[in-house]
Amino acid sequence: MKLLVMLVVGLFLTFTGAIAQTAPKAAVTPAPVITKDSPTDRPIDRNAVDAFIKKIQDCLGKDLKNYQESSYRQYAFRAIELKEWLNYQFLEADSGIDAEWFKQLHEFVNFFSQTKREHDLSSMPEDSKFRTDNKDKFEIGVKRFNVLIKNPTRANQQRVNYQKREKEKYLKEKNTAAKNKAKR
Amino acid sequence: MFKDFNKTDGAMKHNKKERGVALLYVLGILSLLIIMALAFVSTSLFNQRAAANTARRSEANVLALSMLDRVVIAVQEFGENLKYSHSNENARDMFEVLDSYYVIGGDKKSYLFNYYTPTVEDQKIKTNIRWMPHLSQDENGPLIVGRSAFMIKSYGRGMINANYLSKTNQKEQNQPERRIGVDMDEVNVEFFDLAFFSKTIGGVKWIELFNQRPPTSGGPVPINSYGVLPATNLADFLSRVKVRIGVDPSTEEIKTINKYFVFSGETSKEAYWMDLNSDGKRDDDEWFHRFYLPGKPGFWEQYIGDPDRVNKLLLLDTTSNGTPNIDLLNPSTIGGRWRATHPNSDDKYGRGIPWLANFNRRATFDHSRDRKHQLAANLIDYCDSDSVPTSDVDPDTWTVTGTNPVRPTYTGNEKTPYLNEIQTKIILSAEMTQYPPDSDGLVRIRVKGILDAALDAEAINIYKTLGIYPGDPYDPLKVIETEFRYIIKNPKIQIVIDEPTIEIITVIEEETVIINGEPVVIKTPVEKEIIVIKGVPLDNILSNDPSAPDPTTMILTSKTTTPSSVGYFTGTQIIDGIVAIGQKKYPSALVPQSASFVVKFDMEIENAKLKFGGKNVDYCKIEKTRNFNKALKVKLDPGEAESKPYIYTTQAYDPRQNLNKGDWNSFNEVTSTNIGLRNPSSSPSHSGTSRAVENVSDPAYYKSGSTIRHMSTAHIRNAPMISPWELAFIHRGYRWETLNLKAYDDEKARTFVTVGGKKYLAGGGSYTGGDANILDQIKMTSDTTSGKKLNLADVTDGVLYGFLGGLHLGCGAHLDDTKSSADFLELLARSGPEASVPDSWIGSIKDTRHSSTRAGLANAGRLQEGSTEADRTEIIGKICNLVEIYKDTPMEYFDAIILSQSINDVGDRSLSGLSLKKVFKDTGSQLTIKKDFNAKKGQIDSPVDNDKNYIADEVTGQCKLLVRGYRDPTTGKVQLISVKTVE
Repeated sequence: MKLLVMLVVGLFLTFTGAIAQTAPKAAVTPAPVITKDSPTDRPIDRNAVDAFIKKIQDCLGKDLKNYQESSYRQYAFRAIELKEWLNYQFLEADSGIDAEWFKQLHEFVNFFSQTKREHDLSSMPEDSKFRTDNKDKFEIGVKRFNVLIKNPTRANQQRVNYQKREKEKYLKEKNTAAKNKAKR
Repeated sequence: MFKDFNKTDGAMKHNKKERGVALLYVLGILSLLIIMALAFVSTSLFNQRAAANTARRSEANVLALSMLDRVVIAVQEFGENLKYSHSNENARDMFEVLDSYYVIGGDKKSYLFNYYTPTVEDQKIKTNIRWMPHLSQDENGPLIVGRSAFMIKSYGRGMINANYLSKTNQKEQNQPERRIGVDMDEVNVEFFDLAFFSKTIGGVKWIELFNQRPPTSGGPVPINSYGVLPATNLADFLSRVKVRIGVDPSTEEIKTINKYFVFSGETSKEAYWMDLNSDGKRDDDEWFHRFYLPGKPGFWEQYIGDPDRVNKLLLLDTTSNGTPNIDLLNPSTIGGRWRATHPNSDDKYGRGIPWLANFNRRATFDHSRDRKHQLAANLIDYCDSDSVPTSDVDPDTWTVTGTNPVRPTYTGNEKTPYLNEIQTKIILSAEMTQYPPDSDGLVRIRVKGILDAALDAEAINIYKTLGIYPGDPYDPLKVIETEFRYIIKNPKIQIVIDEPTIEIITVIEEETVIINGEPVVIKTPVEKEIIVIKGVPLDNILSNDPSAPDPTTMILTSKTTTPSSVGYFTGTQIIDGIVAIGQKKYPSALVPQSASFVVKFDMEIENAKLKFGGKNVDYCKIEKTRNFNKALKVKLDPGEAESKPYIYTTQAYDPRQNLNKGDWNSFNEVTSTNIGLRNPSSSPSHSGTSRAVENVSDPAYYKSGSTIRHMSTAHIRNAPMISPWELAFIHRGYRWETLNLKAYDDEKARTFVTVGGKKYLAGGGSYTGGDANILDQIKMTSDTTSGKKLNLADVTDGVLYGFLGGLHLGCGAHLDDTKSSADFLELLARSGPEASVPDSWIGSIKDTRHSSTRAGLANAGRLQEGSTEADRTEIIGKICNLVEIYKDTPMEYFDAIILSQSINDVGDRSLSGLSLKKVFKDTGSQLTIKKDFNAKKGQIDSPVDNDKNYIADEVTGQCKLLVRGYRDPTTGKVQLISVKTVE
C-alpha cells in the first residue's frame, strides 16, 4: 500500500514538474577504442618511435632555453598522438618495445603538457614562486624523461610474436575484404 | 563839628596851583575801580560762560546717561535674540539722517563709528541710524533740549569661550590637544597669540588657562588654585588675573583678551533643528537629539546576525519596510523630540540618522532602499569590531550556485579583500597532419583541435592589513578563496576543413579575327575544370563537454613577487581541455591545405563570492554574458601547430562596491591579461565632480620600502569613530563615492519632509548634492550639550586664524587602522604636515555664516584652494563639530555707542516759523556758508534747501559713551562692564 501511495505521489509530482531530475552531465569522453590499424597509417616501428622521441626532445630543448615564451601545445598534441598509439593493438609488434614503456612515455608527455599548460595559463607574474616551482618541476621531469628514453624496455618476445601473427592475420583479412569490395 | 570849607583860615590857604589833585585822585581811584570792575565783569563773564559750557556738557552727559538707561532696558527686555540694534525712525518722529556723522554748529563733525571696522551690519546701521530727540515742555509747547543716537552690537558669539580651551583639570599651556573635531579643548591658545599667552609677570605666567569645570551634579563652581578659570564673565576673569599677578591687567592686555575670548558657562546644544512650523526660527520644540556617533558601550555590537540590523541601529525603521517609522515628534516614543526632561534616558544618544534613513538614490541597486541599507551597513561595519559583513542574509549562508542561489541585497564593507576581476582565457590550438598515401593512393588528413580554458579571479586589498586575523599572510586564517559560477551554454565545436573540389564552369573565351579586313570578336563558351575550396565540417570526436566546475573555486595568492598581504591576489582554475579530432582521406591531388578549428558558445559569469579565513566576506551578482565565436586557421604546411589565446574579462569599477551587475564593466575581450593589475576603469584619481577624487591612481594598498600608496579613504577601524572626519571614509554604495562632506544642502538642513505621516529631515541623494548635512545630525558626546562652540555667524578673522591654527592635513594617507585608538587618534590628528592658514580659507569660512546650520561650513568653496579634495574633507571633518552657525543665540556680551547732544532750540511757534539766516564756516575749506531757515520750536530745523548737514538749532554740548555690557542669557539682567566717555 505504502509503495502504491509513493508511486502515485511521485508520478503526480513528476508530471506537475515539482520534481525535476537534472540529467547527469553528458560526459562524452569516449572509451578507449582499441584499433588494429596504425593511427599513422604506417607501422610504428622503431624509427617512428625514435622520430617521435626526437620531436619531443627538440621541443624540450627549445623550451628549457626559453621556458616563458614556449607553448604547451606541442606536448598536448604529442600526448594525443601517443594516446592513439596506445590504442593501437599491434604497437609492441611494430616497435618491439614494451607497451608499459609507451604508457610511461605518454605519462611523461602528458606531464610536460599539463605542467607547461598550468604555467602558460597561469596569471601569476613571471618571477613568481609559482612559475619558478613549475619550471623546476618541468626540468626534473625532463631529467627523468631522458633516463626513460635511453633504454626503451623491450617487449615480451612471446607477446610480440603473438601480436605479429595476429597482425598478419588481420592484414590478410583486410586485404581480402578490400579485394572483394573492389570486385563488387 | 564840621569844617567850613568856605572859610579862609590857615587850612584853606593852599596855592591855587594845587587845586585838582583830588580830582586826580578821584580819577585815579575811579580808573582803578573801573579796571577792577572790568576785571570782575570779565571774570564773571568767563565764569558764567564756563558754567554754561559745563552745564551744557553736563546736560549732554545727562542726556547720554539717560539714553544709556534706555539702552540697558532695551537689552534687558529685548536682547535675547538681538544681534545689533540702533536708534531708528520708528521709535519717535522728527529724526534726521545721521549717516555716521553730523555737523555741530557748522564746524565740527561727530563720528559714531570711528572705533569700529565697518562690517556689513555696521554699514546697515550707518544707513538706517537716526537721531532720537530729547523733548522738554514749556508753557507754549514742546521744546528740543537735545538728541541722541545709539547703536548696540552683540559680540562674543563669534569668539572662543576660554572656559572650554583645556581639558578638565588640565592646564591649557601644558596640553596641546590634537585636532580631531570632537571637543573645543582641541583649540589651542598658542595659535591666537603665543607671545601674549606665554608672557610671565614676576616669574609667574600671567594667564594660566586651567579648566576645572563645574561638577555635572551641579552645585557651586569650585575656584581652582590658579584662580583664573572658570570665569563667569570678563570682569570675573580679570579679577582672577589680578589675584594671580597682583596688579590689574593693562588696557592693551584686556583688549587682546577681548579680541578672541569670552568667559561664561554657556554651552551649545547637541541637537539638530527641524523647522516644524516653517517660520525659519529655531523654536524650543524644534530640536532633536543628534546621533551619538561613537555609540554608547556595546551599541555597535547589537543585533549581529539580525537581518534588520541596519534598520534598528541607524535607519529609524522598526518595521523594516524600507521607510522610517519612529515618530520623532511623539515624546512618548523612544527617540522622541529633543527635550532634556524626556523620560527616556536613551534619547540623549539620538535615534538614527535621518540623512541615511531617507537616503534616496538607487544607483546600481534594484531599489533605493537597498542602497540605503548598504550605506548603513558600511557605517556599521566600520564601527563594529567583527569582520563579518552586515547583510540582510547571513554571510555563512550565501551561495553562488543552484536554481535559487542565496544572494544578499547588500553587504557591508569590512576590512577584508574584495573581489575585483574575473577573467577567462580561452586558448584554441590546432594541428593539421598529413599521412602517407594508402594502397589506393588516398591521403589521410587529420586535424586536431584543442580548446583550453582557464578562469582567473583577482581580489584586491585596499587596507594596510586584512581583518582581525593575526599572523603572516600564509596563516590559514588568511586564506583568500573565491567561488563563482561560470557557465558555458550552447557549445558548437567543429573541425572545418578547407576542402578542394573540382567544379566545371563555363567561361566565355574571346578571340579576335579579321573578317573582311575588320577585327571581329568571336565569343566561345568553353567548359573548364577549376578547383574550389569549400569549408566542410568534418565529423569529429569530442573528448568531453566544454564545461567548468560549478562552482569554480580557487585559492588566491599574493600577486607580488614577495609574498605579502598587500596589493592584488590572484588565482587560476584550468578547465579540462577539450580535444576535437576530425579526419578524412583525399586523393593526392586534392589534399586540403588548411582547416579551421571553429568554436562557438555562450558564456556567463553569474554569481561570485569571496571567502577570507574560511568565512564569506564578499558577494558579487556579476551576471555578465558573452558570446564566444572564433575560428583558428591551421595550415598543412609547415605542419606546425597553431595556437591563439582569447581573453575576456569583467572588472569591478570600485572594489568597495562590487555587489551588483552595474558595478562591473562589460564582459569584454581584451588583448592581454589584466589579472593582478589595476583595472583600467578603476582609478581613484580620476577627475570629476561626481566622485571622491584621491591622490593615488591605484586602489590597492601598496607599500614598497617607505613608499606607501594608499587611498586616503580606505580605512575600516572595526571600532567606534573617534572623529567626525571618519564619516568621509564610509563608502556611499556607488563607484568612487564616499560620504561627501564637501557639499551641503541648506534647504534639506532645516526643511522637514513627511514620510508615512511623520516628519523628518530629508535624506541624501546625489554625490554632488553632498552629505555634509549628516554632520548636523551626529555628535561626539553622549551629553545633550557640549562646551560652547565657535559661532561662525559672527566670527572675526583673528579668531578664525587662531581657531584653525595647528590643523594638520594630509593625514589620511598615513592612517594605520591597526593601531589602538590612542595611536590612531595621533595619526588622525597629526600624521600629516601642519597646514598654514591662507586668507582664502578665512574669507571662505566667513562666507558660510548665512547657512542655516553648522554643516554649511562644507560650502566654504575656497578651502580647496591650495589643498586637495581630501584635505578639504579633512578640514571640514576636523572642525565642523566645533562650530555652529547660529544667528539666533541670546545676546550675552554687547557693545553700545551712545552719542548725545544738548541743543538750544531755535525758532518760534508760528506756523511759518522764524525766518532767519545762519552763517556757517567750514573749518576745512574756511568757506563761509549761509543757510536760510524757517525755524520752529520743538523740532530740529533743516534749512530751506533741506541740506541735512546743517540745522538752525544750536548744538550746545556733546557726549559720547562707549559701553560694554554683559547680559545674563537666563535672567536677562544686564551688568555694565565698562562705561567710557570718549568726547
